[in-house]
Amino acid sequence: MKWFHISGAVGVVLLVIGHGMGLFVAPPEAMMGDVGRILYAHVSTAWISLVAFLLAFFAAIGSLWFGRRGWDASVVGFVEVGVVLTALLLFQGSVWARPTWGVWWTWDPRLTTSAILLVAFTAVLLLRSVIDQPDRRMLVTSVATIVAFVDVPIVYMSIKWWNSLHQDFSSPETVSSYMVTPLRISAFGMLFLMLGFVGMRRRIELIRLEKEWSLQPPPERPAALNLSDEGTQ
Amino acid sequence: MIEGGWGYVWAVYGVSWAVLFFYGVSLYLRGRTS
Repeated sequence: MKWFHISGAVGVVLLVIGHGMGLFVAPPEAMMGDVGRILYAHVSTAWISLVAFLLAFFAAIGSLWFGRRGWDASVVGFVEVGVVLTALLLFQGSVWARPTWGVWWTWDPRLTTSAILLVAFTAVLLLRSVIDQPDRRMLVTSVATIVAFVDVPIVYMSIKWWNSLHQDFSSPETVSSYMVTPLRISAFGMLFLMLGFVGMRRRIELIRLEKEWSLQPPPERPAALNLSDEGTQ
Repeated sequence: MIEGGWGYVWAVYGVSWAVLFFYGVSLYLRGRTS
């Protein structure tokens, strides 16, 4: 059993506990009622998707700096899992918005910048898939990831920079203690699950890159070596 | 306070767990065949 299997299993256990507490133990939210229970899933998914993209950004810098396949595979892992979580958080937010805001979707700054985040990092994966040359693909993936990451701090600060319907930052000071515990457990569960998924995806990509490298033709013999061989005959 | 709304809650948790489950299974199967 690999480390990422353990991380994923720990994540599932923590998510079951956190979501279970959010659904069955925590009281209904004062204004939202039982609909507020959606936030135990939505907020933890949102936090960890941004963490995944932050780690993708650092992996992209490592990939540019060291030029190793391991860093390249890490970028793919973090970006792909981040895209899955971002798609999920947009769905969760949309379902939550219907009973609370009265609409499935609105062009609110937080929602719009989050949708741009999904499009930008999906574009990174699409761009990568159409490049065959390994070194060029690694370079383009890294640069595109760094460019797409520019939207992450904009998503985070969007509720401060513009008038937004979206809630302000949550903290233990602004959230009831009955709600902080399931929220925190859910967030750690999603973190461990994300790391488990990234480890699995990274390994798949690494195996694929190593197969690709082994199938490349060997470099031609240098001319000086050929001359030397002829001289010894 | 908004009354009811459990349908929305179950929709979110059901779809979220289904997506995470099937994504995990897909990674496991891709890892086995790679």
